[in-house]
Amino acid sequence: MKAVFKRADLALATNVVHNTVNYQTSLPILSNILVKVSDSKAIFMASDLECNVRCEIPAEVETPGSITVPARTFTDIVRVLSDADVTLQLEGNRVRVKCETLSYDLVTMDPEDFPAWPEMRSKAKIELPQKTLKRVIEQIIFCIPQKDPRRVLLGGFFDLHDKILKCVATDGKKLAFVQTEVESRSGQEKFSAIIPQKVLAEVCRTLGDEGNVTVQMTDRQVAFDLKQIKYVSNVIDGTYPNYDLVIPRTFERTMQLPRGPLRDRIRQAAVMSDEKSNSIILDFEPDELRLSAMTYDVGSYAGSLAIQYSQDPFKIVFNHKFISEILDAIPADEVVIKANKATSPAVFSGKDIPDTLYVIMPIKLADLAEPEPVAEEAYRDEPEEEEEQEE
Amino acid sequence: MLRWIAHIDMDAFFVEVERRLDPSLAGKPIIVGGDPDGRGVVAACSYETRRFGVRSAMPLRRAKQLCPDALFLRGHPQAYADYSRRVRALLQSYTPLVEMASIDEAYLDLTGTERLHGPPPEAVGRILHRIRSEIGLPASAGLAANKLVAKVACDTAKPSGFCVVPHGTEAAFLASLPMRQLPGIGPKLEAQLSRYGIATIGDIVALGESTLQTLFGPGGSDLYYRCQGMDDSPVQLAYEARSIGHETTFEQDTGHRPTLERTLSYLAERVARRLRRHRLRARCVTLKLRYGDFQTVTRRMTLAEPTCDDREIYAAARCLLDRAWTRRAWLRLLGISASGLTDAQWQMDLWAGETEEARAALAAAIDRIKGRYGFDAILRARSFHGDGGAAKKEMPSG
Repeated sequence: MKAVFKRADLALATNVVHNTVNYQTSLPILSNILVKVSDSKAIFMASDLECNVRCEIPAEVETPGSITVPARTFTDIVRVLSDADVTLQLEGNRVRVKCETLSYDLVTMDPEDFPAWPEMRSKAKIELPQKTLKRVIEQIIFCIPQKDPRRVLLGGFFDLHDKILKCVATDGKKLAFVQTEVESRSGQEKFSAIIPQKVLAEVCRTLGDEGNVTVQMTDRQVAFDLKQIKYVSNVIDGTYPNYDLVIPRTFERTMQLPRGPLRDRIRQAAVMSDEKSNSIILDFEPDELRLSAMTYDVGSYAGSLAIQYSQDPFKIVFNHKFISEILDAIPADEVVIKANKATSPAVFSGKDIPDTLYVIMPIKLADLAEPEPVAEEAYRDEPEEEEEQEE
Repeated sequence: MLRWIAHIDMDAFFVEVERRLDPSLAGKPIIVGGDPDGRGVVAACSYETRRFGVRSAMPLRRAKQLCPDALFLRGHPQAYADYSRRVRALLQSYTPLVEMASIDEAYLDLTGTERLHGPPPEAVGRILHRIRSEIGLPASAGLAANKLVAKVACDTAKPSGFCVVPHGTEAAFLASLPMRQLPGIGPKLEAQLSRYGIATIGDIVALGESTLQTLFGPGGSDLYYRCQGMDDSPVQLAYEARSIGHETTFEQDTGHRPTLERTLSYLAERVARRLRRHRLRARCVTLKLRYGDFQTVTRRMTLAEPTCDDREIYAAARCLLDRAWTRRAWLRLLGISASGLTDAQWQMDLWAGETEEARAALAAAIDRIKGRYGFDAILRARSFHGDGGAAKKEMPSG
């Protein structure tokens, strides 16, 4: 195999595929990138057996063929090369990388050992602008937990109803819901898949502002086709929790707040918030929001903000991190909060943006809870034992 | 400002409470813990029995061999709790900074109370006097610049004594004491140190910081400073340092899985009930098991959400039992304790919202029944006989 590349093309290809490479694998071949050259193009591939990625770049092919290169080393080499033509050439059991006056010799492995690109028969196929999918992923991905015993939560849920794509992510405490209309659809009318967080993050990274992306889904796999770049990944097996159940539909009260100033107040209150729970207390009064936070032994914060609210005073406690993340993801100057009770979920959305909403479960404070009557045990013959022990 | 920390320790607390309940016990050798032919341990013993070598936490059978004339009492745990509460209330009238280190000992931070209560040594003297005259129980006290020295001072003053260690004399005070007097030096460390000819706390200091570091790693330098009476740990309000636990010693060693699970369920109910009474939730569940040969194993698990629900505690404990019970040997004791306690606030779960409220209502109803008719009046079916005739609870240790 011998081919000549532009360094910029190599930089793109390695940048796209190297995040998928798994270096802790027991299969050494997986810490390599497969390079296949033929017909004036080269395909770079990486796989961690869960997710497969390929990126196609132009090349001047002298001898077609396939090679593998160690992913980390090759990525580092491309990063330090000067902007000139780069030649890749298989010589015996080494790959020679030549650029101007320098050359590297790399150990290579048998390309036949590299996992084959998965074939899939899609059950549902949709097409939408890359820009739209990028926005949708960005708006939900931060609600996916990094770790959770409920494996189904470790991905974003893509729920397709005809041309409506509903995307959901939740960690059980907060939930993101974004709905969008796709440009075209074929295959089954209703289909859904749980796509691993890592895959969504990778896809999101490579999505651009121009052109469309095709998404194909099967019961086991999902594919994203950006023309030059393609992903095929396993989906997370299991039943996603019924998100419809936890998105409230009726509300006792609605508040409208300016997003920027609210974000500032939350940030200010966060300094004093209890480190374990990250709680801040929101007191809604007519046309005023009062915020407070306190840490036992440290101190407290009080702040206020003019808002649009005309109902009875209402108090609710949230994790400030949830609110901050959500405010960052809402693309509107005015934020609408809808709530019922201090112990039931509240909905955050941008004003006049009905397709994106966030549900947050509040924090329950002991003084908001029903106090348990502290009655002395009356029945003395069967006393309850008190036994305090120190750690 | 100079710190003044007092350590107040009740003398033979359970024994003295028993004497309050039955004055005819005065002056007699008493051991609280239960049936001397059973398998429990000594929860408390009067000073009369200590001359014979009886100590807390010793198996009752051994105590009986040492002191056959002692009166063995099953004890009145509820009364101990009542008296402990009264002592705490009295202490709290001097300062809000009261840490109940156990049922019968407390740390008080008297820093800055001079203008209110006069010089701390006099204030502590009055506290001891009031505990004796108003509650009728003897207590000892230590007063020093920190918790560590206050505790050691109190131990040297027992029984019914009071020891003040003036500021700056901590190291001198500790130097001549046997090293076991220092909290943190147990039998293992003692054995290790005695190999180097060490007997007193002062001997340890004489080794020097670098030698101790070489011997014990980073802990060595900690030991060096503690041996000179340096300690800056704060007096903590009750809930922060605590765990809540219950344990059961089986009447006979057992490897019968259903019996073990029944016991775990019962213990989980006990622990959950106590959490709810104190309006706490626990983040960690620890399982303790002891084999017939006294080898003791503990395993801990952190829960996703803090809980006060016995079902969640039971589920965690059962899972821990599988991890902890690795030997093919029968068990003598099982215990569950809950730690990582939080009282104030917790993040609710989107999907648990409805069920959690229903569960809380159920727990509240069960708690009312238990409050009125006793703990065993209503139990989960799987806890039934989890602590009935087959097993007997160990007495709380003083």
